[in-house]
Amino acid sequence: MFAGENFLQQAMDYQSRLTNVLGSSTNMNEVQVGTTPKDSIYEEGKLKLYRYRSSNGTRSGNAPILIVYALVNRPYIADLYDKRSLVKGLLDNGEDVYLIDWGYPGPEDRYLDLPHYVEGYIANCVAATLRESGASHVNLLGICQGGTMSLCYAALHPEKVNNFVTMVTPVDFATADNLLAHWFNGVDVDLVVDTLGNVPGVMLNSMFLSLKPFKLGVEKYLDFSTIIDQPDKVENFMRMEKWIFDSPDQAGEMFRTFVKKFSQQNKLVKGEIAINGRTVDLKNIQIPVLNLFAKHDHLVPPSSSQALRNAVGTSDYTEIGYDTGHIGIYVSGKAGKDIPRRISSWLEERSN
Amino acid sequence: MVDYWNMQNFNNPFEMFSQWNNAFMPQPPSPPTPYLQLFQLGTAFREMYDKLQKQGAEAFDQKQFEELMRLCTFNTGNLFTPPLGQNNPWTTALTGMQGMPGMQLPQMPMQAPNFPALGIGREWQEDLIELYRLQQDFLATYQNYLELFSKFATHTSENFKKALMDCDLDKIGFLELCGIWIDCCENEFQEVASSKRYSRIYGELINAYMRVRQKSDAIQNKNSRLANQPTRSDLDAIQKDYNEAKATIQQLTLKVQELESRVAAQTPAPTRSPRKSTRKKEPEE
Repeated sequence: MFAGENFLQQAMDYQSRLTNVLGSSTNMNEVQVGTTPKDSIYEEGKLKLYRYRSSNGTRSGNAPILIVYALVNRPYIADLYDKRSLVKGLLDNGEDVYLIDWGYPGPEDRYLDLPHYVEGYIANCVAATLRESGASHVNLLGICQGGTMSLCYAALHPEKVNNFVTMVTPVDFATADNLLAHWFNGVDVDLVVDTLGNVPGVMLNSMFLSLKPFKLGVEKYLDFSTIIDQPDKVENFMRMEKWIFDSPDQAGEMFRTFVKKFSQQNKLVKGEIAINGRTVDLKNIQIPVLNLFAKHDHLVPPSSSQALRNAVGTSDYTEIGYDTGHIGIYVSGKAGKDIPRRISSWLEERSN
Repeated sequence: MVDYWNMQNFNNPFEMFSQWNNAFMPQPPSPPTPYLQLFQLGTAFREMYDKLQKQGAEAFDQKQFEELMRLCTFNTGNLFTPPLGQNNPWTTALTGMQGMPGMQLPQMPMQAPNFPALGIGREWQEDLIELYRLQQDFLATYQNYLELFSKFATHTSENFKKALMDCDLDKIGFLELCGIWIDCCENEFQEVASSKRYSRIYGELINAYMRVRQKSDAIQNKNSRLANQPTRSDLDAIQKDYNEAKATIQQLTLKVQELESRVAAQTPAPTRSPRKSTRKKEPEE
């Protein structure tokens, strides 16, 4: 038998909490994100390249780290706030950190394609990072789709990169558990891009959320009511909500290429991607590679990331799986603390 | 007089809301508003709970639960809505839970007008008829999509019943019960969504929607031309030229860099010898 009184009391408590949510939400200020001090050192179109200010005035002596984030969602997830910041963690370990902010593509960016991003933006940001830091090489840190684009860059320009770190990066798009790729298979991406031009961020976002509609659309908000009387947790929840729904539109041609060639045709692992007439051969990546993935990632399944091991040409390959999800890898307490430390010590071991 | 705000008068919150509704809305609107649908969902959940409380987990009424599931998944939310809409949960909540975003299609006029003098003639009518046909295709595909979930309520309630049998009902709380229900729903959804049939129909649905949008845009383009205004395709052409020029410059820059590095590799490093002065010597006097 149910504990009836208990259940009724909880249901009523829940209702009163929901009423409090409405009351307190009107008093909340806008949440602040990406607060680590930084300077814009290079701009091109909508893109900005930031260099973060050293937190303790010391530098490790490692080559500068250039963070390349995905085009979907905003890169401030890497610097959500001081207690959950990959960037701050790296700075605290003495790294010289740079990050590419892609901005929000507008209609005028519709025809930006893979070569613009890899041979244009990323190549120019690498050059700007080298200029600014005075170093001869960079350490690339590619996150999610940014990792996939960085792989293309590193395969074409291995001479510019010292070490390569990937986080939750899709490599093999045809693994059986890749639900997102499975859904894309039936979509006529030419029709989508020809019709819409740039692909609205909200549309993609709703696709990502509908991968787990009950967990992400119901349970998350039910659980929210249990933290409503804890302002710090409410603020964190709101930061995450802000980030999740802050989705830039996708430049149409880049979206077409990414979905068609990378996801539907799985050309990256087949060695069939070409940029400006040059084939992207991942075997050219013979520098040390550190691959970080999330064991419960519903967007980029571990099998997709782990395919990197056999795809690259390096003999110095390390992979670490974290017991968390795609977003948790940046914001969960344990992974958040461990990852910057691991990256720094791994780089340190390989510094010349 | 009934004290509507004193919960002591009621056995549960839904009784209180029921009184409220009777007082202020004796004639329920038809079809029910989203608020009423939510209320019906809560009442159904409460009724199920009452029955389980009195008779134990064996009294679980599958039909009743399936009805609850239908209310939850199809009437009150857009959980299964394919990514055609422009809303997120916050805007949806703040705008009073609108209908399914994907259904916000261009409206088909009852009669296609005919004004040949304004350029609105047979061709324009044909465009509208084609648009209407594409809308019908989309709606048919949407029906196929919903049919993917025809067994959803039954399967979820079966799983929910099994989960109830396995857990300690004496200690279960409100959010835990919801958690069990959500897990059952999610597992069933993953089962449906990872099938080949789902991938095919999902693709067909997106494609059908895009065809409607494309046709609608084409009609708008024609209207803009009639009004001597620049069209979207005109702007697209300019942007395409601009980006092609940028790509050419990028390729040429790479070529120049490559040539420069080749030249640098072939040219021997200059030896440090004293530079000869090019200045003419002043004639000695």
